[in-house]
Amino acid sequence: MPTNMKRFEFHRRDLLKAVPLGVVGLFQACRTAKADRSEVADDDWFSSADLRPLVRFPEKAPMILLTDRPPLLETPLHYFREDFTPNEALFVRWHFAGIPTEVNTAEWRLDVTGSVNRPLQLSLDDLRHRFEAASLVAVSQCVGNSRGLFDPRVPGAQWRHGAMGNARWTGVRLKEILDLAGVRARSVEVAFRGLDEPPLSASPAIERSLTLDHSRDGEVMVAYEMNGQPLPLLNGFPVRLVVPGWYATYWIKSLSHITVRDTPSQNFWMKTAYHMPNNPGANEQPDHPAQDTIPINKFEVHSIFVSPEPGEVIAAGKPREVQGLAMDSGAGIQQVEFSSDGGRSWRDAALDPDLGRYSWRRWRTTWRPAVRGVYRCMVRATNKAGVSQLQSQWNRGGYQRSLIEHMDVRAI
Amino acid sequence: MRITWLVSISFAVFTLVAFLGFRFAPAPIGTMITSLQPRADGAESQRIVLPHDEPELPPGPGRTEFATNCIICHSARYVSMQPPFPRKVWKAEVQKMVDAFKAPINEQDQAQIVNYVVAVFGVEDERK
Repeated sequence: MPTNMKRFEFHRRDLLKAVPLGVVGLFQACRTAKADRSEVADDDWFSSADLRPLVRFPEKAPMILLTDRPPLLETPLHYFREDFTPNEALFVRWHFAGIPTEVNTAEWRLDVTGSVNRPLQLSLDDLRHRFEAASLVAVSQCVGNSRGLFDPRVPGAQWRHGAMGNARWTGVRLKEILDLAGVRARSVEVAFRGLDEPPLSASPAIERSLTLDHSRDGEVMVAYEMNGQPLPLLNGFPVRLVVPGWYATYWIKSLSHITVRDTPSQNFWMKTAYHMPNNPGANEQPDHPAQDTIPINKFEVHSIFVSPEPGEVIAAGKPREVQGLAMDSGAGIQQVEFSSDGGRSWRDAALDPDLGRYSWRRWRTTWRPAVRGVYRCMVRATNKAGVSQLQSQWNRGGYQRSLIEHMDVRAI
Repeated sequence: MRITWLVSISFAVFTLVAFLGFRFAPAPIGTMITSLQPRADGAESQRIVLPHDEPELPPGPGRTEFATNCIICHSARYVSMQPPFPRKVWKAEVQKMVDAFKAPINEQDQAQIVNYVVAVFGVEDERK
């Protein structure tokens, strides 16, 4: 059954009236259509309340438990009503169970080696005092954020929208560290490693790399503070890499080794893992996986609902603020549109003040569900480069969610 | 004059006490920060103790192989959080553990692990 027809009912005379008026009239008829769906399925992750268990880990607020070993903890949606995600509520994602649980800053050093003239061993004190402090607001987001909403489902961490957060990061520009070390001619890449280790020594240790140009863009940062405080250990104390506008798989936590390379890395983490179909939107078909894949890189344009939350019942006939977040990889959000009729009609939401090009942008609109029923609400964002969200999207990794999100909201 | 001094000193003492109180207040129940040692340079060393909370493994064929191989590296929650994938998906996942992550699991155990995961967390492949 076509779901659109099930959800909205037209009166024949409405349609007859609309036909002479052409497309404009049809739009009007759609706007006055009744919401007539009565149920939201309990297993609909888009529209039902989040009943996953909460867990308390050290230095963290109660977080949604995906797994305990290694810790994968998701941020409960209500924290997204705040522009800056509290440190205790930022999502946690480690690949291997061998995560650092103790760092003695008297002994800890950040090694800078490889294709450099002066290898460095920097203490936390060096980073804090020998370099100018830089600061920027940026969203950290797992490339698998919202993976649990892919249809058909794909294996991996089954996140909803809570594998992201927005923060003010303070630290040292990577460029300054590289300049101090003196990058040799013919260097091409910079590789990053943290203190985490695989439980089996045979497993490939995590090392991610960025091109030398990207590493020296003056924005990539070795951050020792998040929102003005040291990082929680589970989020990468004492320092983590911050790669504005790029997915968090590059934001190496508890960073310990920076290696300047004169050849591109061919390791598992760059060559095989975290690859996506090489097309705009990272799309492929389940029966026809893309052959051409490239390493994950910048954020796609995406927007989500924050309030009402999935499963929340709202009052019919009364105005209600609907709000959410929109983000892209740095061009900036130009427009966010909201629909309460399954995408037939859209109207502009208002945008909160811009907090920086790598920050998320809050959107708000007031919506009055006219009558009782279930409404299909949708949100789509467009950035200043004219890139909008996707009508359909699927890939085997559950990566780079950019689909136009929907939520069925019941008004009574 | 003396009153101004008194007010200033009281304010300073109050601020100091408030600051120390905030700094050394007991951690909220549930957090497990075992030590936070302030250092001379202002940065603090950190140590945490991770909660240990392994889920029960339901009975099923291949439970022993699952428990003795998979659980070495990761929690069974990595598996139990997944939707009910068909056998071919689980087979590929087990293969990934062996090929990409070098899990030392012999072929017989791999087959048993797939059987267990399909029985407990998955579904059989649809027949075409």
